[in-house]
Amino acid sequence: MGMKSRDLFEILVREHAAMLSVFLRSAVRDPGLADDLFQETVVAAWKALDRYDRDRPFGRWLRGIAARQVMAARRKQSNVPLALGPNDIEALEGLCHTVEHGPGDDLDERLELLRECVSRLPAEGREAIHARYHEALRGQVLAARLRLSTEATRKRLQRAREQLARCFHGKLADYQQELA
Amino acid sequence: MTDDPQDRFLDALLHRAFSEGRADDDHRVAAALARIDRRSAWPRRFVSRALPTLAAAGLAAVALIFATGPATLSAQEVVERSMARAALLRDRAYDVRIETRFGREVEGELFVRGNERIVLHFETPRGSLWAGYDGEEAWVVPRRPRAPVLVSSDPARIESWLAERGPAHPFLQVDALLERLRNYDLQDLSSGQHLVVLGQRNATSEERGPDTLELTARAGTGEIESLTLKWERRGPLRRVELRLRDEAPRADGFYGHATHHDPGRRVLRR
Repeated sequence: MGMKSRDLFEILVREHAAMLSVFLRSAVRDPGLADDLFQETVVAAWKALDRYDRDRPFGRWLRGIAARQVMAARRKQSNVPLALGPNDIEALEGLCHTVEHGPGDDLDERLELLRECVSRLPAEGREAIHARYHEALRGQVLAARLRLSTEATRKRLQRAREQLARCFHGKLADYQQELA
Repeated sequence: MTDDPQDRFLDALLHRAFSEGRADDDHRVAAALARIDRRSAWPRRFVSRALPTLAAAGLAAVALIFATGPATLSAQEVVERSMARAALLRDRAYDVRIETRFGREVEGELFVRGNERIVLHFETPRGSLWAGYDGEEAWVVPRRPRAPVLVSSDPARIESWLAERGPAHPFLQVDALLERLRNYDLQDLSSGQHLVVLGQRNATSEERGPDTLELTARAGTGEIESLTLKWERRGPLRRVELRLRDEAPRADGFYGHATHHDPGRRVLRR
């Protein structure tokens, strides 16, 4: 494979890296393992580049390889902390596809919608999301920060994420309707 | 966190929206492309020939150790001497290499002053992770620059804080590792300038301990040169190796958290 293929491949991978990371982080529990699988996916994609059908979206093709890497990791080591099963991974691809078709040039721009949704959460939900994702607190430290039990913290985060999912997907649907 | 795909997906998007950015992507892509470029540059034939050569060198080294006569000290005495030496209030730095069960390799550094001060450092694609104990307070400086520094007067907290960050960053304490050897079957493999003891698990060994633990120390002093822990089938780790790098003195402040983060960073005390 010549230099041009290598450069083109790098451009495409960089363009789809953010969504690939989100896909893998959703599929496995351990962020370090998600990073490992990111590398495995990109290397496997490079090896399979001759077989890439240019009529297919590159991001979707890349995530298809990632899904196989996740399942292969699971087969190699049965205690790989897999968050989702094969059917769920298909559903995950559907979610990635929906977000990819949202407003903005890339994922980070599209995530502005999600940040807007966070800003509209009730104060306690906003505080929980901020402490968990902005300050990266977890476990007992997070619970102490929120002045809650660990179980109550888990529920509060869960409720906030449910609200955010409704808001975010609602905004994406509104955008699609506008386009139509 | 549930296993519902939508919830997992939203969790990942939130991490992306608030903790990660293009710099993280750049690290990941660069690491993957470096692997591709390395492979492209190495003819396949070289790789397939090089591996048996390295394996043969390893076997020769093992054969040499076994061919050498027994050392004066017993294996138990070697361990005791190394424990006493490690407890001396001297600064030491070890290079740390960790291999997880899945094959991920992580490199780090361990700094100690006797058994009373400790600093662990791991450089990862997600940033620098520092953890330590300065004799009064245990602390962790998380990888994310926005995450607060965690500080506690309970030294035991450091272990759970690191455990929350995944198996690839275990809490390593030289004296605790040597202590484990007391409940292992010991074999003396010493030769020449090096004292070598191989410990193997037995029925009295700690449940989650490694299957083998190999100590190499200087013959004259018992100063630890390397410690290698291996797990055959159980647990998230496959191998942990500590190798003495230097014995240079370090300032007292080096063992506190403040040396390892920006002065304005928030500190949470627990």
